[in-house]
Amino acid sequence: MEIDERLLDFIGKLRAAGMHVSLAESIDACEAVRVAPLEKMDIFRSALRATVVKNEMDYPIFDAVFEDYFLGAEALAAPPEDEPGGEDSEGTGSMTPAELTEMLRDALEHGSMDELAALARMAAATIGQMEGGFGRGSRPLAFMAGSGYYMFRGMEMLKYARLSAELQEMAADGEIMPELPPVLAAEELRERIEFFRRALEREIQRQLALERGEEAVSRTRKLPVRPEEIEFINASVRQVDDMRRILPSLARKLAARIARRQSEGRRGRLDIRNTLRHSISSGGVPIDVKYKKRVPAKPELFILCDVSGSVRTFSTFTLQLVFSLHQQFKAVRSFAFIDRVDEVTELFKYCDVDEAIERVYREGVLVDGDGHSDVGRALDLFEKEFSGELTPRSTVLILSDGRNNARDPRSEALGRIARRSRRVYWLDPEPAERWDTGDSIIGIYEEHCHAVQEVRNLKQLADFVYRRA
Amino acid sequence: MRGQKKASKEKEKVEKNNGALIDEIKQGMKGAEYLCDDGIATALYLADELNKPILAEGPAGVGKTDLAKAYSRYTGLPLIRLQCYEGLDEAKALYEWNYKKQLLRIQADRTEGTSWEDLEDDLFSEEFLLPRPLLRAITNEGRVVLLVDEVDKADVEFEAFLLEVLSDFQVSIPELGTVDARQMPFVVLTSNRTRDLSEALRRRCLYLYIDFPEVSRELEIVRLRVPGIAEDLARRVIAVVRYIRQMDLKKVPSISETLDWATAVKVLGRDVIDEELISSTLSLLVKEQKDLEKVQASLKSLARQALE
Ligand SMILES: Nc1ncnc2c1ncn2[C@@H]1O[C@H](COP(=O)(O)OP(=O)(O)OP(=O)(O)O)[C@@H](O)[C@H]1O
Ligand SMILES: [Mg+2]
Repeated sequence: MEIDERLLDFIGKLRAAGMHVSLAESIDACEAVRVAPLEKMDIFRSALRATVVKNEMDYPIFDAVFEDYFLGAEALAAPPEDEPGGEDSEGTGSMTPAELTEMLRDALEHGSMDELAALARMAAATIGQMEGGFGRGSRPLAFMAGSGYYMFRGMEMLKYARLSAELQEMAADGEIMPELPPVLAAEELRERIEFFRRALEREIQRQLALERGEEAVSRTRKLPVRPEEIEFINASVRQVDDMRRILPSLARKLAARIARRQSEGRRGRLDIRNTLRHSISSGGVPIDVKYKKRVPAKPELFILCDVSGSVRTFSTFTLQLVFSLHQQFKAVRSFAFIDRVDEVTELFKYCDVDEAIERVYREGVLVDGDGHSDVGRALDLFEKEFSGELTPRSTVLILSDGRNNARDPRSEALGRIARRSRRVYWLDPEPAERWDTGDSIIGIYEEHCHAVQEVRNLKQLADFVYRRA
Repeated sequence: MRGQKKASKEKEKVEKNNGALIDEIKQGMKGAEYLCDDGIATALYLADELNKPILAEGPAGVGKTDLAKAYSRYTGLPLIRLQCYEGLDEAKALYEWNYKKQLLRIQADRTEGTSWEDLEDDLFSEEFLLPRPLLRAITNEGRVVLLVDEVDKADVEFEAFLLEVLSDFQVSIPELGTVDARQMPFVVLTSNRTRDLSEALRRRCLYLYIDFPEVSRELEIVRLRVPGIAEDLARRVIAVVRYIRQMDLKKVPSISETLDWATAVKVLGRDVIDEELISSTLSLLVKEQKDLEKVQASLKSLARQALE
């Protein structure tokens, strides 16, 4: 394929992954590649990135597609030949997992990146032989496992999580790379740990591709998701970091949108009577048009959030977003629950939301029983203790997946809450198709709510806030 | 001088591979006291080759502004800077009529009785024009580096106007006609992302996100910018800074703080970084009161970072 053609194909892949690349930018990319050196992968990548990625938030997607397309394909075209313990010589498959782990420990501590890459190849071959599905003489697998599956098994086989944790501890104590201060050693180590993980992933993909053909593999690969589309309920630690990073800008944008809408609507509706009265002085011609003043209906928010494990991330982000928009509300009061409920408004005044939730956990005011949420009991307690403070100006937000661990729903409590307030919205971080399956009893509560809303990611959260603020 | 350089560069390119050209930029920028990684150097190279502006985004103090300044030092092209702020308008960015001078002229003319038509032609001639940064960059005899600093601070309307200027490097002054750029300026826009810039502006630019540097580059920056600092001390400085950067702070220290602190530690002539030293110089690294309190509370572990 001509390089231009390949580039356009690549840009097609970027678009398929959800990135927006304009025609002008594609042309820039072709031109950049013409003048930028192709010999060095890093420079080639930088050149493409500068021309087609116009937002730092898209870097992870770009990098993943790039590695897939250029590095993956390159590796396919020229599989490494003379690696230590290459497939023909000693038979990599004969290496036991324990031996591999030991070699890996050594290489992470003081080996080169090349050694790590070589080890990744050996480990991938071993995984293929143990699990089946790819590699020389391996038995066929009953199902088409994707590279994610093999990665998972590989990490287990190598006890990678434990190995990395041990090494990191040693680095913190200055026992690894003693020539560096501990933090730098730790950082260097982290880079190596990540490097090996990615090398292994790529190697598994390469070997799978040899077995099944490129197309089949690229279908099973998972591309990174934009931070605003990451699902709260299965976000990894790293993804939560990504989300945290974009939250301030999301909140700023949202505040600007809300403010704009308010200023557009500020004039309110035409006030006919007032206009006519003023028209008398101009002989009945309505020169001076009058508008009704719009009462800015700033709601008073009561947020009732489930902070048990499964929905904690969701609750944290929602609280954070609401607090950064607090000018838009008359007042915001917050309550946390697991199987008991407590007001946490004051706590949030002094700490970050994260810190506050940490404290809520530590101080243990929310749990009587086994640490599973009991929505019914929490609603009941809230109703008894706080519903006297609800007014027709209050909007109640309930953040929970409505999974009640088979306990009494006590939905009549919610009914009483709804009658005392203006609106009750229930935000559920689970996909709507999972509602009312298993122990989710969201349907029972729905009767008493103005709306139950699916809020799986930051994007849906922002949309909800915009519509209701 | 630039023209020559460019012509000979064409020839060079045939002989050298481009990797060497990128290295040359890195070397040249280093001579101008700025350390580039591959990404930054490639962006500079492309901006020059494709004649496109660079939009540099990133946290505060990572070297966005200095990128343009250093490029001007490296190439010897004069630097023209347009600092953006809320309310910046065409008059302040492009040109204004020098109305004081015009008034003086009108008064002087009253005695001579020139006709209004003649006077008007005179009043709106180049003599009375006050060129602002954009116009100066366009009309300058030779090529210049134009730094449009902190675009995100300017209003959306100004951004649209800027986009127009950057698209054709041509401005029209109703009284004088159209002014074309004699030479395309080398343009760098910077943004701290206090708001999102328009898609149109982004499309027009090469994009460069500058993040906090990796360990090795930050260490090299310290060596370059704080000459004479002991190797050992430089490492410890970096270790402490990077530790603080991992803490959950409102504003983490960036390269400028690293450099300030490294200089201070060097000047104080200490060779160990202990709790007391960190505590007494902490305000160079951490600016927010709440952050200061947080960091003061973990001085012990900080000082441990600085030991082996
Ligand atoms: N790569 C580098 N090499 C040498 N010095 C650097 C580098 N990056 C940053 N610096 C130094 O760090 C300091 C901060 O850089 P600069 O003012 O350009 O940051 P900035 O990104 O424009 O920050 P702000 O967003 O606050 O305007 C300057 O003294 C600059 O010289
Ligand atoms: Mg700056």
